[in-house]
Amino acid sequence: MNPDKPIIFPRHTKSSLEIKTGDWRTFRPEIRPKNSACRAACLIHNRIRDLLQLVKDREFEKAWQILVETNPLPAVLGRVCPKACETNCLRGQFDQPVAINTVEKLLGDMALEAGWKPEGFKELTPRLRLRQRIAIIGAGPAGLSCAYQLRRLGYWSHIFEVEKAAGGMLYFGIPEYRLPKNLLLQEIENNILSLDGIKIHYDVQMNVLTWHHFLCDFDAILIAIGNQKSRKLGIPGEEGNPQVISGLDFLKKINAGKKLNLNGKTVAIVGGGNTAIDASRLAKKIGARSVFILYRRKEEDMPAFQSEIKAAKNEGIEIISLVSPVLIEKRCDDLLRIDCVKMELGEPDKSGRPKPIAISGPPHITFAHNLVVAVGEEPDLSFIQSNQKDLLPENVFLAGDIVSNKGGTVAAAIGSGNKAAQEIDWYLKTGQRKREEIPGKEETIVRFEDLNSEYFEHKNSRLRLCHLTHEQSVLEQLLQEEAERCFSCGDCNSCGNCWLFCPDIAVKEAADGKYGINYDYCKGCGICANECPRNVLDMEREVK
Amino acid sequence: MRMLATGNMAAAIGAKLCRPEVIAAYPITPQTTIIEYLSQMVADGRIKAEYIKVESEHSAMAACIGAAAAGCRVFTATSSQGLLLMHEMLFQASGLRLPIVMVNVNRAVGAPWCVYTDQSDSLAQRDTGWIQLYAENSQEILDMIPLAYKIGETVSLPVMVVSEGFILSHTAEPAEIPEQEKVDKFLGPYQPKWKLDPADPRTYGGTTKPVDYAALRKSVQEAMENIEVQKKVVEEYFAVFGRDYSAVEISGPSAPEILLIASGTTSGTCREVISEKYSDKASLMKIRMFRPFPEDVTRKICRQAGKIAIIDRNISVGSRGIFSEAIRSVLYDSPNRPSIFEFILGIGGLDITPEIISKVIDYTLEHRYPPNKPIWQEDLR
Repeated sequence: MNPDKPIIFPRHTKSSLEIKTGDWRTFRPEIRPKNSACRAACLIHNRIRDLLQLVKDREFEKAWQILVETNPLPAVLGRVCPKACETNCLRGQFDQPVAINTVEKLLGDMALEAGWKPEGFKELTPRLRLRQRIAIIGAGPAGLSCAYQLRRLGYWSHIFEVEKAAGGMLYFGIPEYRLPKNLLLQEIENNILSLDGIKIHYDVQMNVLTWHHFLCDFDAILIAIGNQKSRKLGIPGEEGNPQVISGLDFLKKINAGKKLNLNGKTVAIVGGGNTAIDASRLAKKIGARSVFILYRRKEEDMPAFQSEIKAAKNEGIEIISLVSPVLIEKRCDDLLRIDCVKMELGEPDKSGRPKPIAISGPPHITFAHNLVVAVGEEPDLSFIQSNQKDLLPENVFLAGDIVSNKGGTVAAAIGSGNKAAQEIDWYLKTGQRKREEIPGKEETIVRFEDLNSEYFEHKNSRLRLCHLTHEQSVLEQLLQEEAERCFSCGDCNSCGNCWLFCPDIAVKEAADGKYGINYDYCKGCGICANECPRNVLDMEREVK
Repeated sequence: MRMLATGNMAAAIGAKLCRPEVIAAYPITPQTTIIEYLSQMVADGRIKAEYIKVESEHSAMAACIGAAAAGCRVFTATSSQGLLLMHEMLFQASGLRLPIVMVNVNRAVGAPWCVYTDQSDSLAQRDTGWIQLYAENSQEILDMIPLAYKIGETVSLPVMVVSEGFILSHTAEPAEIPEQEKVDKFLGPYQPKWKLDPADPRTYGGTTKPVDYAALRKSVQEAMENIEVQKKVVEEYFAVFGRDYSAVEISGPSAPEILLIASGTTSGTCREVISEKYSDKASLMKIRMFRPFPEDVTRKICRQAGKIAIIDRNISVGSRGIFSEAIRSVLYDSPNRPSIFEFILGIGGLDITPEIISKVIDYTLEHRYPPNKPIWQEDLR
């Protein structure tokens, strides 16, 4: 053989690009971001996944800005939220859920320390435009968040508060040990009240007269007064007895700084909600010798947060279940004799919990110096001379505990405030009350089965132990580590698996680091969709 | 540096010295320790290579082909059933002219399962377009790997270095480890003759018309026929390292009464037996390179012998030993055709002891004409 003779290689003479192999496709990958389970479960719809991706890169302020798009009080929610996000976090089915609530709290605290201000507001409409005057009655979480969201949309608003401080139930209902007052006020001031366009008026007691003025003066009114009227037991010995106090009044008194002398006394609480548990723990904290809770269902049926019930029991508070008071008698030694009838559980009622039914037999008798009645609250709508919410004028909106059927949490209140702001915006723009829902727009929510968990490594959360340190650099490291645990369900975080696995080099990296599909050459094998760890890619039948 | 190395260790060291960029292999007895050593070296950073874990030998070879097509120097190792599983891909590698180097540790092929050595696995691949080198000891395995890269990269063909299960792979003997600088100087970095280019995407090895296909196959054959390249590389190697790896090695008189032909470890035993008992009557011809078959030199040596005894550690069932076939066809053109005695020894790892070799030589001396079929080891007892 002639050694100079060149070697022939089996090389095609034309470029491979001439063959558009995309024609062969019967299935087609689509990059389709989906909703994550955490956001879907969040009553405020916080963009949790998106902000965690920023925390991962230590972009704390940007992450906080995403948080305050929907929730103006992250430091508060970081302390009192029942964290549906964490319960639903898909990582919970892998090892431990991401400590989303703690991330929220730390971001909120960082913002207060650094004095970050929420951004991304629309410009305020000219002041003199009379149409678009908005009144918000009640400066609780629902009212505040509605004012805040309206400000984001460029509206002025006036908040009217009956008390001398903003915060509503956050201030008067939640004890100091769960939510420090100065932190609450600081966050409200920093994130909401300091905004131009929001004006708050304290000490405004609503009555029929003011209500009629409001109806004349404002284009839209939001009632977010919460449930302020405590329900009564309606049993002999309750009325006019100074030793019997409603749960809400009890909490308000202590939270407003008034002194109550319970030293060495025995306190009975009736009820199973958060008010009852808060009242019981607070009573113990201010010196009561013995505190017990009377509840008509079983302990597991209590609507209060499980963590709070557990904490109460750890503090020595006794829970007596399946009893209901029927008679209160004042004795000469200052003790109250509380006669309770025993209960049993029947069929589930409207709330889905078993209905308690009184059974005959000897009463359960207990003694206490004070009785706190925390059997639920209802709104006090006496100023509109009607308790029928359906008969309100069309420019009157409702938010917060009055409409909430989601357990009266702060998150639900803020969520309903946000929703009310959107409704008001729609109403002021179109004059129509109802916004037509666009069908089929509902986003798909990623399930654990949709993920390809082969690509995730087991790693437990360390951020949950963050209360052990206040060192900023350590906290930042822990935050980053925690955010790295986020699966980023349903949203491309540019991991590049699709690009790596595509056998036809049909996945292309765009300039912004995101990936796209070149349908000229994609044969629709589906490997990209299969190897995507976070269910961003869908395969669907090709329509030709 | 001299060190005590098993055949597998020598193979791993030989591969390491050639600085492969991609290693893809699947473990199989008796090759396993080669890739264990290599993966350890990659993990320790002693080899700067990508180690691709695969789920089968077919994928291992496919990964090697892909990596070689991307312009990398690649290495793999296998044995027996694994090599058979690669069969389809072996044609692809040679057809695409990719100079992949693979160590195959000889092992019998099932059924029934047998993990001991014989050459059926590698010789079943003789028509795949791979250059085949058969090693006798650890030193040869080690040296043949740089040689294989140099030859393969010169003629653009893949090379199989063949070791033997247990007798070689798991037996330690002293071997000289060449200095890295010398190997670097001898081999140099890989300069691919072609590689995939995303900026100018082309199909390689796609559908061709018969006329183009025939031309491409002919070009593979021409590369094989270019045996001068092998000679030159071997001489170069001898100049640097002082060890000769000619395609055929002869020990003993040039025109012997009996020419014993063997390959692999058997040749070592034969050499011992001849030097002890038959130094005046017999010579040994060891075949190192089976593909391309060194026809001219074997013909030249064989035609001077009185009789030829060929030891095959393999059998082409229905025909005869595969080395015998090759020698027979080479001698057809020769005016002088000595009678050929064929022995099928060591099948499935049967020990080929000095006594058996003696019996082979004695049998050849005693008989004037060979029987018309091969003589098996059990027939010699």
